[in-house]
Amino acid sequence: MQALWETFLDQRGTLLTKLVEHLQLSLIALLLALLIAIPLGIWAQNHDRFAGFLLQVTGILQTIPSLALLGLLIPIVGIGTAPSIIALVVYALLPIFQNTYTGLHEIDPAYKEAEEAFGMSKPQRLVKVELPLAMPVILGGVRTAAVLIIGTATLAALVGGGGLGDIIMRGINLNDPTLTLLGALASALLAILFSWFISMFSKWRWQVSVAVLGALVLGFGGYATYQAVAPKPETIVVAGKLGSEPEILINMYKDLIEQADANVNVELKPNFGQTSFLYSALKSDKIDIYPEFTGTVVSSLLKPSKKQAAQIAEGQDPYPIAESLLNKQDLSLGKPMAYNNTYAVVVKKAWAEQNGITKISDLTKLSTPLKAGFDVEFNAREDGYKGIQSKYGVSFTVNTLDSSMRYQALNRGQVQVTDGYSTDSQIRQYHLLALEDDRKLFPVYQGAPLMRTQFAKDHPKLTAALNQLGGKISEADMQEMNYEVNVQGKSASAVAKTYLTKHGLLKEAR
Amino acid sequence: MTKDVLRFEHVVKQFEGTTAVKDLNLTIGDGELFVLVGASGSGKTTTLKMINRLIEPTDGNIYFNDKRLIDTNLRDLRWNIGYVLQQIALFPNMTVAQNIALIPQMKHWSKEQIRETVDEMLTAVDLEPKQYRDRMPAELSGGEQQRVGICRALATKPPMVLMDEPFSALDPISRTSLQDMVLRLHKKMKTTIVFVTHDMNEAMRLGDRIAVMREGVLQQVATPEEIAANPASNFVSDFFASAAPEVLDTPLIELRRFADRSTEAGEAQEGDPLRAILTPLGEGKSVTVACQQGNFKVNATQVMAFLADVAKD
Repeated sequence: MQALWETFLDQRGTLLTKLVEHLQLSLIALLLALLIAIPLGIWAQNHDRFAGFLLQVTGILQTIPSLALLGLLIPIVGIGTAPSIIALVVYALLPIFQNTYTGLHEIDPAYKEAEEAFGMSKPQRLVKVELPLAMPVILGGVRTAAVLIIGTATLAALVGGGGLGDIIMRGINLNDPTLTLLGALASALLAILFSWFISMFSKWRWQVSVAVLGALVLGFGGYATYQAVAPKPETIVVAGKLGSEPEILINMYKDLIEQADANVNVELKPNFGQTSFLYSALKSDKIDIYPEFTGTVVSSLLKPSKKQAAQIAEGQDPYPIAESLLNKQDLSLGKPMAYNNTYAVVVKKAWAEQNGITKISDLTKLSTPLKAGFDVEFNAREDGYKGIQSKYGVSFTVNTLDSSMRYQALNRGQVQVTDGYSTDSQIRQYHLLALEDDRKLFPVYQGAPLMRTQFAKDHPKLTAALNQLGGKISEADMQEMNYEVNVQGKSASAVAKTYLTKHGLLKEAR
Repeated sequence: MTKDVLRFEHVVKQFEGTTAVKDLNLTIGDGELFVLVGASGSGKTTTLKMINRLIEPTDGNIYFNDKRLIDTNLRDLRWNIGYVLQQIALFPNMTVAQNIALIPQMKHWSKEQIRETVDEMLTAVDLEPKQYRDRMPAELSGGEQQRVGICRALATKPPMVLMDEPFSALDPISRTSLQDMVLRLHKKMKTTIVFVTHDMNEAMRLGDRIAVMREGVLQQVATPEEIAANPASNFVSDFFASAAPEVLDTPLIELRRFADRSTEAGEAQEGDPLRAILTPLGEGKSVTVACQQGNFKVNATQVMAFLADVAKD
């Protein structure tokens, strides 16, 4: 409970932004669903066969798993809010349509006979009598739809639609259950509030309800129009993968870009998604820049030629290969930073100093085999433990461990060596040392800003600004910054700013 | 009788093979209170609903003021023919005043005129406007609801009003007082009323003329006196006879105007039927009836006076 309260205080700014995003997404979807489903429900009154058909169709749409629906929508409408809203609307259609249809259908025929006998026109019948009589049933459907939408809207985070799902996803990625809980609670609370608000609707006179609804539509419509019409500086969208490290990097990008060009507004999308997702977002113009690793480009995004693959295997720097492959895709990779975020053999710093060890090859000096705790995958990989044995001639007594356990095991002295990533914050946290890979066994994963070639050409100032980071930031720097964000709970933007200022990349008083 | 407002000529109505109305020929005079009476399935309601075209005839013609109904603008026709339903069907989302104002509003009357009409109509049906105007239908008793239903039909003073078994769902006391009210309103407003009922008693009580229907065929059209004196067929005489004993079901309150006021405790209730007190009356005793408007004491002579009055109707 205490932890939850602290997380809440800590994240309240983000929470509010995400809450507003979530509300916006949900309201827009709900309004669109209302605009489609209510007229359809009214129209279906006199078209019984079509009504049955529509009920079937909306029912089938509802059975599509939300995740699958989002996935299916991406190739058609891309990522971001569009697929999220479409998916939400699709889900909301059934309850609203069904209740509008039944609500109107089940009105006592005596009232319909009276309307007819009094010579009321169709619109008069609908507005004066039938809709008000069906209103409680219709609102019941709207309520179901709203609760459904608010819950499902958390999935929008998966396709870059924002909302409270972002907080939940970040909690999962940072392995911070309180953050996940915070996002989930906020979403649940919002659903309850909304449901209450709609139930109030049925207690008001329907004219009041329509007025409130109208005000909401006007408010959001006006806000959206204002946003569309209001003159604003060019917005550049910078996104990052999951975790603290990309978030720190994109905050640096933002600072550097805004320093270089005051007319540019940078919008950050931290924890935007997995690699392939960011890559397609960049290619389809949804985002403009994201930090990518050279190793990732040559190993999973693009396929190097046999010759290139051999060069990489021999330990050559993959940067030029990555760059030339990307250029063929009309993409450009900026200058890489210094640190190499790759596999690392990690030991305790004190122990290393005692034994005079700094490189992996130094381990051959030791007479008794060390106890090692490796993750299953690392243990089996050619560029993992197998490579250590062949390239360095070093063997350990290996226990395989789950990756989440290895640092604790090392810290408690249960093992003497473990595998990790060279910029992990735990290296700093537990006073560990990543040994130098002096025979170049591990593939090189250097980070650099990736953007469309056309974008780079159009924004030479920005490219130059980002290239200032080329050759900067060592592994130790990155470990320290990850530690500050993950363990000390500092904000990524503050950590980024401190680094840039300290290294003279950002002039202090702007 | 004055001129005809409504004329049925060889009207036939068939529903999917069954014939509801067979070759109906009928004229209804201006200002008449015309009652269509018959058992269920006799075609009386179908006949009524053909007048405001809720049901279209299969064959034949209906003339309203010598103009064929199908040549009349449907909306104008319906605005000129008031309608009172058996289910009452006051719109539950509107107040009493809004219900009554429905057609005046569609006709774009001024607010002032509408307000006046609402109050005038409520007063005419013995509902205090101040007290009833802003109530919702659900807050009213069945009898009160149907009074408002009649106000709604009469608000624009249409030349003709159709009433489809309007009192069949009400308790005997409300039914009797509403029947009185219809007679009073009819006398005052001179509106032509076509009234459907299955209750021969009600028909005899209300009708200037009565049309008896059976299985879609008109049996007899005549004044109540003529029907009583010369029933056209055995069916009509049986139907008429079946109604007669119902005088014994008259609620005691009907006797009030023939009786004496009393401060004694009631031995019978105002809603009890006349037959319940026949025994003590036969023994020459008088009976005190508990009544909201003040208890009264009735003896055999006074009951005979009441019966004589009924017979005169």
